[in-house]
Amino acid sequence: MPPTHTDEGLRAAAVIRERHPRTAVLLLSSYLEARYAEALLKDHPAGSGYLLKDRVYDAAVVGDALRRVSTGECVIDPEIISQLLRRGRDRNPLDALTERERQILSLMAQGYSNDSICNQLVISRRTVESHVSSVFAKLGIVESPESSRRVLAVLAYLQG
Amino acid sequence: MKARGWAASLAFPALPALTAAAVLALAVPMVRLAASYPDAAPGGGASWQVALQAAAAACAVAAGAALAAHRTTALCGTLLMLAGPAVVIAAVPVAQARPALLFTIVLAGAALAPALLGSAALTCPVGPLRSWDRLAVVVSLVVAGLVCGLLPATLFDPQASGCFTCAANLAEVHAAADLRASLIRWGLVLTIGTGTGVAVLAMGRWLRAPRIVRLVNAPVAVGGAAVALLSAAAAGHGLAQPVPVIDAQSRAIWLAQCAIVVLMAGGVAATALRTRRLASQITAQVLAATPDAETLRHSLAESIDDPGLTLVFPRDDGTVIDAAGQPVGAAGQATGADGAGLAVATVRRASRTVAEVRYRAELAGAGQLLGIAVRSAGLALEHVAAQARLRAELADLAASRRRIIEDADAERRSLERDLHDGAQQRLIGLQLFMQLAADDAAEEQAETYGAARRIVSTALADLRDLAHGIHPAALTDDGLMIGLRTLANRSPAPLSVGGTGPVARSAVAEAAAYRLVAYTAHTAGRLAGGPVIRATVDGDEAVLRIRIEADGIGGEQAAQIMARASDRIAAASGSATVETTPAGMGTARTTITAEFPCASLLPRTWHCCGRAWPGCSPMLDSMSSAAPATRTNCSSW
Repeated sequence: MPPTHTDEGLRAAAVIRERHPRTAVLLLSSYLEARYAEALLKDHPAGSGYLLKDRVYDAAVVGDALRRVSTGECVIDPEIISQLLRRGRDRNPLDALTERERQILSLMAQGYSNDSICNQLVISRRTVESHVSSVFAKLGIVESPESSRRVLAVLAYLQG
Repeated sequence: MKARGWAASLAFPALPALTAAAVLALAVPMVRLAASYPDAAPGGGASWQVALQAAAAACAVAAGAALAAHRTTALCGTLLMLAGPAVVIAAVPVAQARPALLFTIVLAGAALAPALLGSAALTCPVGPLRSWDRLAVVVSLVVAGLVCGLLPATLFDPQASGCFTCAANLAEVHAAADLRASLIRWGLVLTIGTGTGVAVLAMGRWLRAPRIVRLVNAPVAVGGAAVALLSAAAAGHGLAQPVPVIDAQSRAIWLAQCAIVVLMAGGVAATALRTRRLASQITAQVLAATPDAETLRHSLAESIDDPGLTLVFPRDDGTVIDAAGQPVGAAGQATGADGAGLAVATVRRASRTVAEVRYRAELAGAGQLLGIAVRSAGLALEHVAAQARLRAELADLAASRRRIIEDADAERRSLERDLHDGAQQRLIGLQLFMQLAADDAAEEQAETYGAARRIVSTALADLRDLAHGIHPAALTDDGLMIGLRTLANRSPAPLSVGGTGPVARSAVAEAAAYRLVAYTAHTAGRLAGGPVIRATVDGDEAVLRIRIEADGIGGEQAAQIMARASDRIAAASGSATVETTPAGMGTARTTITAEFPCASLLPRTWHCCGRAWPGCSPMLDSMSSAAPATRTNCSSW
């Protein structure tokens, strides 16, 4: 965003939330940077979303993101997450996860709540919950009851 | 003053020759007359007395000529040299002087010798010549030459005064014996005044000078002052009598003055020997081993007893550097570190200035010692000067190289911004319109539009990677640690980033460190088996240190990495070492350690103006120039 085209978007989001705390904010950015997403979500994960501007052509994705942030979930662009998942890791601990667990990790990192994950993968809520616990246990992340808070924990973990 | 020109002018070799010839020409009749008329001779006629006076004259000429050869002692030396013939003149028995020319000269010039010697003492270079001193010199010479000599001579008629055997007085204007007698008495009174005055002033100046200057100038200053004082005593003695006559006391005083002149010459010779010894010491040092700049400076400082002496070298572009090639204050700086005045001795070879020696101005009176020292150290001085200039050139080259890299980095940042703000935004728009077209079109066209949209999406992704590869925005905006973490996020090879991060911010150092890690990660990414990289960054205000440990990268790949990175590291004035050790199971571990100094010519301005314009860089402080100090031309060899 002008004038310096650096972090005006993030600062605008912070001001909006300060003045109108119940406003959901979806930030469209050209930057495929996990740290920008993290910065946006840091103080106020619920109702915040970070999407790549590239996605603007796909009405379905944008619509879904808008719906999710308006209901208080958080949204992180899947491209960011898959880049983080793809990065090289020493003695990759993600290898210990099963295929299903990786899917669930990816969805959690994108900000989906347990209910959304159920809908997405068409499995039962209890299955989702057990997979989630298993993922946290294997990766050694402290579980957080709120789905929006756990996004931050997962993001932090994935960035190393 | 006029006399200073003698040393430099063509007249120089002529003057001592002329003076020596005058001494010889006058000595012959003097010896003859003094021997023939011992009672009338001012110094007596015995052979030892005659020999002493002749020796005094010869010594005065010799010592005076030696001193006149140096610029600082030119005036003093000339006066001393002229005292030689004056001594001979004063030794001639006046009534018996023949022919008429000699008679007249002796009449007019008998009192000159002590005045000239006293003036020489007063003008020796123990310090600046004040107006008092100049006045005293002029007054004493006027008194001796005019009041005691020439004016009475114009009033003297030898025949009328009862000297029937005297030669004719060529200077006679009008005979007035009474006027002459009172003039002579007044002359004696004034001589007491000038003699004491000159002696006091000369000793005062001498005593105020620094130790080494006193040492060098002692013979002339103290000897001349003693002679002046004795001439005052002689004048007093003459006044005590109704008519001044030559008696045992006046003879003793005169002979004592001659003895002092011989001692003065001996002292001047001893000083010359001392400086020769100093020169041979320094030459021996130079021949034993080529001295480095500090040893050379120390030798020069010792020669003149000024520990604060500095050696600087002017460059062709007008700047002045020290032995290490670093710039110092402007040429001819007037004051030293403690505010004391500095004298500058310029060392020249052919017409080129090789070096400048800066030392305390008050030691200028011992300048000839420094001159000898510099001449002996000639070759070593040139060597040190050449090294200093070379170092300065290298520093200039390094700075230029650094500027080139900084400009290149600025261009890259600018390019990344342009890509981001321009091309990427347009492609996003294009992508959107493609999709809209795909949504609205019929079946077959929808597929085409969809395919086109997918191509644009890929192009966007490529462009994003390209921009990041050209110059990551994270490095620009948030510094090295964040930049490295974003690199880690995209790196196919495992990269962990640690350390406290840099303390001082330097764009050049951070860019070079980032590139080094990027090359390593890129090389690692291409290798199968996934080498693991750990980058640790820390540093202090002056230095940025980075340590990269790569398990699985061997010597060959390490060499490739360094080949790519070495230019950039060198341009950032950094240094890097690479160590490859075998780790278990046939793999190797490479450790690259690099250090970068943190002084950057470009400030981190891209937050303030968004892009790093060339105009953002600050101007270097211009050197302050002081008024030039007194310069003495040291030597050319």
